Amino acid sequence: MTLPKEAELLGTNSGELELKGSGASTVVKLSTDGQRRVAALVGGPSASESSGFVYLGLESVRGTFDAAVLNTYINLPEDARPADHRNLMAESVGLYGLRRASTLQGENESLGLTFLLDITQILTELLASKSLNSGEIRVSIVPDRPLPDSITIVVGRVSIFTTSPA
Amino acid sequence: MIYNAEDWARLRNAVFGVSLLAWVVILLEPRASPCCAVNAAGVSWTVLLAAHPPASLAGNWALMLIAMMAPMLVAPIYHIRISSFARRRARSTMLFVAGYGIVWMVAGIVIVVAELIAVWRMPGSYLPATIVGLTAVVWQASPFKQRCLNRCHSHRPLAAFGFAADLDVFRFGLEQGLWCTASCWAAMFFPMLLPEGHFTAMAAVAILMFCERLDPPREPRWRWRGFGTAARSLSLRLRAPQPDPAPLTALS
Repeated sequence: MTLPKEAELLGTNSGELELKGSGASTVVKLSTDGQRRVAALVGGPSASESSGFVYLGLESVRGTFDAAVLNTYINLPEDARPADHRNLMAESVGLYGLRRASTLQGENESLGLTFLLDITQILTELLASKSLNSGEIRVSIVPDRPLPDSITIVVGRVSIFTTSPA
Repeated sequence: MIYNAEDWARLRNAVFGVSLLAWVVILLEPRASPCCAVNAAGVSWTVLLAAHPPASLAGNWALMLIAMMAPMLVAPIYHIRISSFARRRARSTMLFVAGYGIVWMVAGIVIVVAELIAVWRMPGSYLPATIVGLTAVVWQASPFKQRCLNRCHSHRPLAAFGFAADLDVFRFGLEQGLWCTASCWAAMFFPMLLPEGHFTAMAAVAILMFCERLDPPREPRWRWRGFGTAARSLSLRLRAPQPDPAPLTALS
């Protein structure tokens, strides 16, 4: 097995993302170098023998509602029904352990949960269909079932990373 | 947020190298050897200040900080590296170190002035060191110390673009410096008051402070702390060689 080299950050959103009710969207802005890397990794001339992976990071997810599953979509159009765009869904994450990870562990400012999702395939497809803006990637996080009114889940940062094999 | 064992090892070795260099300078350089240890036997306050100008004291304090504190910065600096764009990593690390250093240098003014007063009033006496040493022991076991240690483990998400990224990482340095100072002030103060054995006490305190950072965050309460994780890790390694951790895992 070829072990990956160190990961490199390609882009992030601008701040914390609050999820209420039916979820929320944010825009991940790619750095200039990040745009070049994404194009090279997932859409270059040798894409079929792509040598790297692109990951979506949901960092420091905090909240008190464990019983939720979050579906993440890449470039889901505004006001679109997620169910109509299953091809844009990256992955689903279960928030098991969210409450424990978010409560004060010995008064620690909690870190919450961090998820890494492989979005190489979906970016490749979006790039091939020319549906990918090179500078920005819209990320929508939609709960499987709407969150109760009193519940807010916070995503500390949404980021995009790449790793390439050694 | 992707941990890579090789990258971690490279950073750790570089930071440990800087610390080691500072220890060597303290050990070998005659002017740095006293390193915040003040000799005040039979001199007036004016003479004492003249013999230890602020610039020299600040330099010695900074050297002591580099030697003792650098190994504890591996985790936050690694957090900055994996949370920042590659081209900003060096700049972000420098801003973090600046923020962290500013807090410790300000704290140094208070600690060094307290040391000068104590040593001037009771030259050659072990009483100030004993009082501070006992305070350090009580502080070490207190829940307040655990609260500070827990905050030192807190690595929040950082902004990545522009001035916001610079500001965020500098603020992160200030926060880490603040909680680190609150956690370690008593242990740092103790060796400075010793009439003899200053270097040995410094090294012992540095080992204690490094080992206590290996412990995970815990509920704040009265307990002995410092060597739990380090002792368990050492014991496991002595029993059987441990394989290296997985080279690529997500940090949570």
